[in-house]
Amino acid sequence: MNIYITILIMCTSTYLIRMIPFTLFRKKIKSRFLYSLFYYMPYAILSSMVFPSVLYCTSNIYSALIASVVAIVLSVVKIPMAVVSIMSAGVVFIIEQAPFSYFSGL
Amino acid sequence: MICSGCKKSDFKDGIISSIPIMLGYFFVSVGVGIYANKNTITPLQAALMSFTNLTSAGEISAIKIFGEKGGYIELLLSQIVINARYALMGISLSQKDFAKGFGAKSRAITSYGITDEIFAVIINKKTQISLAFTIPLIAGPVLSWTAGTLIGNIFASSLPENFISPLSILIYAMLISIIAPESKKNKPVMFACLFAALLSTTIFFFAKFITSGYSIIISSIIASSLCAILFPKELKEGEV
Repeated sequence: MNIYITILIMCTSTYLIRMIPFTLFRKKIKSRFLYSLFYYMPYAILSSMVFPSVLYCTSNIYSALIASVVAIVLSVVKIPMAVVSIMSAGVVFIIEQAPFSYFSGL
Repeated sequence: MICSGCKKSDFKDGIISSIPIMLGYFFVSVGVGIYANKNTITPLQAALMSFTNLTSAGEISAIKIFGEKGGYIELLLSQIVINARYALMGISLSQKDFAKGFGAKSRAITSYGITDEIFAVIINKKTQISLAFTIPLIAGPVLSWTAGTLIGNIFASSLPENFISPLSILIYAMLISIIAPESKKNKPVMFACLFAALLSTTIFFFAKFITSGYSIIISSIIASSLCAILFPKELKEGEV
């Protein structure tokens, strides 16, 4: 595969998928069902993206699980997004150091 | 005028909101750059890919297909499925309140930056959306996403192994910090999130033939439809 054709296919499809609905869809939705649907949709999308994938993104499932819980707790108590992210990464880093791996049998 | 409804504070708001995204994107894109390097993509090619696409899941998938020499059809189909959520997000965004002057051109420009995180910031903005807000919001993350990819690719072989794993959680932590606080504030949203997570987990374990892109679409549509029926949201006054 040629990398430049690959990049072209990628960016064309990605941009059109983003641009066409957002640019053409203008009306305010009048149906209460549809209005509610599009209100909840973003959160459902993000949630289905995060779970269960987050559990498998690090070297072991336990560091990912604990880091996710940490992220949930920290963000709920209104800690800024960047700090939450960095602290979750820190949790993963610490848990995956040798002494902890020994205790979790990994 | 394209920016007749823009306020001075919009520009500042855009920059401030973009900072956490810039930080998160930088570290994650280093991971993308490393992954690209492992699949015979050069630094400049990887940087070009990141700059033109600005999407993490889509790039990872495309790099994988490129490395496996999967072919352009598989690439196009998977790109459409994985990025299909951006179409749904675009429709959700279209329901927001936009400033005067925010027309088709502004939408075409802003669409380039509809990523998960940038979408989340815009959807949560309580005041009118203007181009003075969206352009700085997008510009910083684009730069850091591209720079991180470039750096990750160049230094791929010299990065210590135990830094790569923590880098992977960054983007998920970012997404969690978008859904968790809103879930606590708004019980129906919590229900939508939990149900969507349950569905995608069930699909993952019991219906492995459904790949991740389709899983996201199915889970989110079912969860949000159910939520829309059980907990309808009141239309703002002046509408039906």
